[in-house]
This record gives sequence, structure tokens and C-alpha cells, in this order.
Amino acid sequence: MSLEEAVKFVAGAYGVILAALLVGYAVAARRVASLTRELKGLREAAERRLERDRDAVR
Amino acid sequence: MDASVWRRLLSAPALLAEAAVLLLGGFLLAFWYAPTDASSMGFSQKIFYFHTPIAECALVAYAVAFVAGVLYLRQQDAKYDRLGLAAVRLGLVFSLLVMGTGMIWGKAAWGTWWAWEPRLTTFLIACVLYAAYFVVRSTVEDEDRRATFAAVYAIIAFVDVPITFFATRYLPEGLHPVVFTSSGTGMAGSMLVAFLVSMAGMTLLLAGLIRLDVHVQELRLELEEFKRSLERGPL
Repeated sequence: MSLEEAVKFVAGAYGVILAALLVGYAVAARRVASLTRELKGLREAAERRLERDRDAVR
Repeated sequence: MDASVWRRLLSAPALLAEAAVLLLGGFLLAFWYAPTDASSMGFSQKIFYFHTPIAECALVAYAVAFVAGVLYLRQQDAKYDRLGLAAVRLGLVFSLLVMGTGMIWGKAAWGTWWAWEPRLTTFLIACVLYAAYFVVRSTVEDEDRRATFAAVYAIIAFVDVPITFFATRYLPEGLHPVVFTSSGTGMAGSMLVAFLVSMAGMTLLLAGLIRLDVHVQELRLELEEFKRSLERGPL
């Protein structure tokens, strides 16, 4: 096999690894974003609840 | 070193950062330090420096799932179920990656994308077995029963792992060469250095990703618990 041909295969294999890393990063980023969204929703719900409880005490 | 330093070094972000440094080092060593293979593989042998560590890490991940399964069955602690789930998930990702890079290397070295030889076949079986792990999990609703089923399944599926590992050594009709033997590695010292650096980097990457996965699962559980307590009563 010529060097030019071998380079294409090696680049392909390392390209697959790089693509997997990027996809992994994107998946992790999505999971973190979803957790952050849920946390934000919970914080808002907790604040609303706190406000309601304060009103009830008053 | 005291325990807090070790804890910091072994946290998910630290492990991932250490892995990134080592993998970059391994990549540079593979291409600029290790010589081009003198055999018929030639330049395509460069795939070895990442392909083999990924394969080893896939098998290590399945071994972690096996140990987590055994520990879950002994102690009934949900943290081992989470560890097992993370290990299988990452083992499967690493397996698919090794199949992808292996097919490309196979085409370059043997002239074919796929051959039904022992290592490839047993690795494919491992992929199918561990993909079915998620089917098993999805069929059981009760958390405790699901964890027990998953632990038992991970233990049974692990039977394929030693077969995959030793396939090239004891089944002679394989195409995969045996690089590491009791008499030596059969490769130049500089190649071995590049390989070991990549191997260390990939192992740390696996460890960091497993820790991250477990951490995300725990965060999700905490959030769910918090949400339930918020719905239940006053703060």
C-alpha cells in the first residue's frame, strides 16, 4: 500500500475517534444543559412556594 | 500526599484534563517519535496507538460492570447499579469506536472491512450482548428489580470478555497479530512509549467519563428527590 493511501486510512480512523469525542462532548453538554434547566425550574418553583408560604403567614 | 489531594486528582474534571494531556502526548509521540512500522502494515500501523487502547478500555469497562454487578448483588446498594450502568454505557461506546477504527485498519492491513475471525466475531458478540443490557433495563419498571436484573445480566455477559481477550492467543485462525507475549512486545522501544502514553490517557478518559456519568445520574436523582419534596409539603 502506498503512503498516500495509508494516510487516508489513518486520517479516517483518527477522524472517527475525533468525531466520537465531539459527539460525546455534545451529549455531555446536552445532559448538563438539561440538568441546569431542571434546576432553574426547581429554583423558580421553590421561590414561588416560599412567596406563597410568606403570604399565608401574613 | 493527603487524601484531599488524591480526591482532587481523581475527580472527573481532573481525570478528563489528565486524559486530554496524555492523549495529546500519545498522538504526538505516535506520529513524530515512533518510527513507521517496517512490516507490510507501514504507515497504517499508526492506527494501533489509539485503536488498541480503546479496545482494552472497552473490556476494562465491562470488567467494571461485572464487579459492580457482583457488589450490587452482595450489598444491594444502588450506587453499584449506577456504576454498572455508566460502565456498560461507556464500554459500548468504546466498543463501537473500536469496531469503527478496526474496520478501517482491517481494510488498510488485510484488504477487507470485515472478516469473521475470532477477535472480530467475539467483539461483535460483546457489542450485541451489552446493547441488550439496555433492553433488559428498559423492560423492568421496579428500581430494585431492574438493578438486580441488570447486575445479573452484566455478570453473565462478562463471559464473552475473556473469550474476546484471549481469542487471538488460543484460536490460531485469527488475522489479529499477538503483540504482547511473555517473551516481549515485539515492537521498538519508542513505539512502546507512544502506546503506553496513549493507553494511560485512554484509561484516564474512561475513568473520568465513568465518574462523570455516575455524577450526572446522582444529580438527576437528587433533583427528582427535591422535586418530589417540593410537591409534597412546605419548605
